[in-house]
This record gives sequence, C-alpha cells and structure tokens, in this order.
Amino acid sequence: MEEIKNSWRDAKFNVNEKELELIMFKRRATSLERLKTRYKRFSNIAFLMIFWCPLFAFTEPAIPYKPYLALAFGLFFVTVSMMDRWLYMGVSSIDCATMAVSEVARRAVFYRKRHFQFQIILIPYAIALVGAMIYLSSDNPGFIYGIIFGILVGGCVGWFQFLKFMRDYKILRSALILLPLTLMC
Amino acid sequence: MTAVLSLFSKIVAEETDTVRTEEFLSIVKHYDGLISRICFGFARSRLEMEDYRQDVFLNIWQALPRFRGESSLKTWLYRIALNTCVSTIRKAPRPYDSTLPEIIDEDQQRRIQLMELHDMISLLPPTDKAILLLWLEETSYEDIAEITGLPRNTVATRLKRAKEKLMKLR
Repeated sequence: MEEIKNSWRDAKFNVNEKELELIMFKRRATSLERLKTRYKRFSNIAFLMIFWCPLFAFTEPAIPYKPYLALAFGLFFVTVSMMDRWLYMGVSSIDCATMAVSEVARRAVFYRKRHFQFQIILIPYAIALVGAMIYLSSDNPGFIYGIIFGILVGGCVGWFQFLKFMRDYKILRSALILLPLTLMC
Repeated sequence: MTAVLSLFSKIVAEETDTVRTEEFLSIVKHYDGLISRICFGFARSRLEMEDYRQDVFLNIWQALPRFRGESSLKTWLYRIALNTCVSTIRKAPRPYDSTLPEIIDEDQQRRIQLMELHDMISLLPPTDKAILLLWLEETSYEDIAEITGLPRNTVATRLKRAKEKLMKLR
C-alpha cells in the first residue's frame, strides 16, 4: 500500500500547459474590453460636449470674449473625441484570441504611450482654457467657485479613470512577464 | 471625501489584484502536481483531464479573494479540486476516449502500476473516488472528513472498502 501511495504522489503527467495560458488570456481579453468601452464612452461624451459650446457662448453669465472661449472649448472637445476614437479603434485592433502574447503586449505598450502623449497635449490645453475662464470672469465670484468645484470633481474623476486605464494596460503588458512564469511551473 | 475614499479603495483594489496574481502563481507552482493527480483520478481521457485542470485553476483564481485561511490552503485546494471534478462529471460527461495523459516516469513497471490504479479508481463512485484520492495524498481521516463533509466513521468505512477492492486487483 505504501508503495502504491508513493508512486501515486511521484506521478507526473505530460499535460497541455495551454490551459494556464487560457486563464491569462481571459484576463487580457477582459482588460481589453474594459479599455475599449472606456475609450468609446469618453469619445462619445466629448462629442456630445461639442454641442454644449454654442449654448455656452450665447447664454448667461456674460464674460468677455465668451464666443472665442466657447470656440476654444469646442476645439478641445473635438480633439478629445478624435483622440479617444483613435485610441478606441487602435485598442479594438488587438485580438487576444489570434495574436501572439508578445504582439498583444507590444500593441498595449504602443497605445499606452499614445495615451500619455495625448494627455501631454490635452492637460495643458485644459489648464489654459480653465485659467482663461477664471481670468475673464474674475468679477463674478460665484462663477469662479463653480469652476473650482468643477476642477476638484473633474480632477478626482479623471484620476480614477487614469488609474483604471493604467491597470488594464498593466494586465495586457504583464502577459509577457506572467506567461513564462506559469509555463515554468 | 467620498471621492478621496473611492480613490483610496481604487488604489487598494489595484494592489490587491497584483497580490492575487502572485498568490495564484505561487499556488500553480507548488500545487500543480497535487491538482493534476486529483484530475487524473477523475479523468477518463486526456481531454477530460485538461478540462478538469483548467476548470480547477479557474475556480481557484475566482475563489482566491474569498480564501480567509480558516482551513489550510491544501484543504481548501482539495475542496475546490474535488468539487470541480465531481460537478463537472455531473454536468456533462465527455464521451469516453482511451487516450489518457502520458505519465512521465522512466520506470515502466511504475507506469503500468499507475495506469492499473487509475483503472481501478475509475470504477469507484465519485465520493469513494474522492476519499481514495485524498488517502493516496496522505490526507488524515479527519481532514478527509472535513473536505468531503462526511462523518469520520463513514470515511473510514468507505476507505476500507475501497482499499479492499484495491488489494483484490493487485
């Protein structure tokens, strides 16, 4: 009986390691879906915001150069919408099922880099717009408080979303690091 | 305030995900053999064994955040492995095919012995199979009772019967 037990515990099998790859594949695919959904959502929101700009231009409160400010906001939202749409299309081109893990990770690195580059353009643009709006409406304290409140809420939401994006990119990129480890086991 | 708390929980969640991955990989590394043997005991074919292993690892991944250390990790893994194998048998038995996973052993005699043992185990009902597999893994009667949820005496009786069958075959 002891002999049987020992041979049983020493048994090793030649099994297909692909199943472990599948677990990681499912994680990558889920992250990819989340990235796509988020980019699409942001692109759509920015697109809808374009229609807010004419309303902003010709309604109260009156501040100097308001139509020009509205135009600048309009350009900002068009840029955001286009950039997010481009990222959405790029991320959608990643196919976890048919592409090699290295290719998935390479593309994830590429689009993550583009995400950062777009942020480098858009964040100073947004700061300049908000700064101009505060400067031009300096005689309207209520409006300034509203802007500050908007900056705080928007900043928090933006930071959350940024963390979410980075987490999903991390999962896509980590496929390269995790897979060889699992296959070694 | 809510936003700050939410941000904090987000950061914690991200950190937890990394910890979970590390824990999971550590389990794969240390308990792959054990899980494979349980799956081998239940499988009737190579494909079935691969299905079982895949399901067991997926269930471990999903259940990992809920593991609170109330039982030992090994006991917890046995429970997941056995529950997965037994429920998969009930759900959809695969059509029988004779190609079993290849056993990597240089000793031809031992390979034959293991295949005979597998054939014998495959004749047992699922619960007896689970009990015998746990006994082969040197699990104590108390632990087998805890894992299977059966009284200790029932475990002893069923195991005795299974061992007798095993001896008859030898």
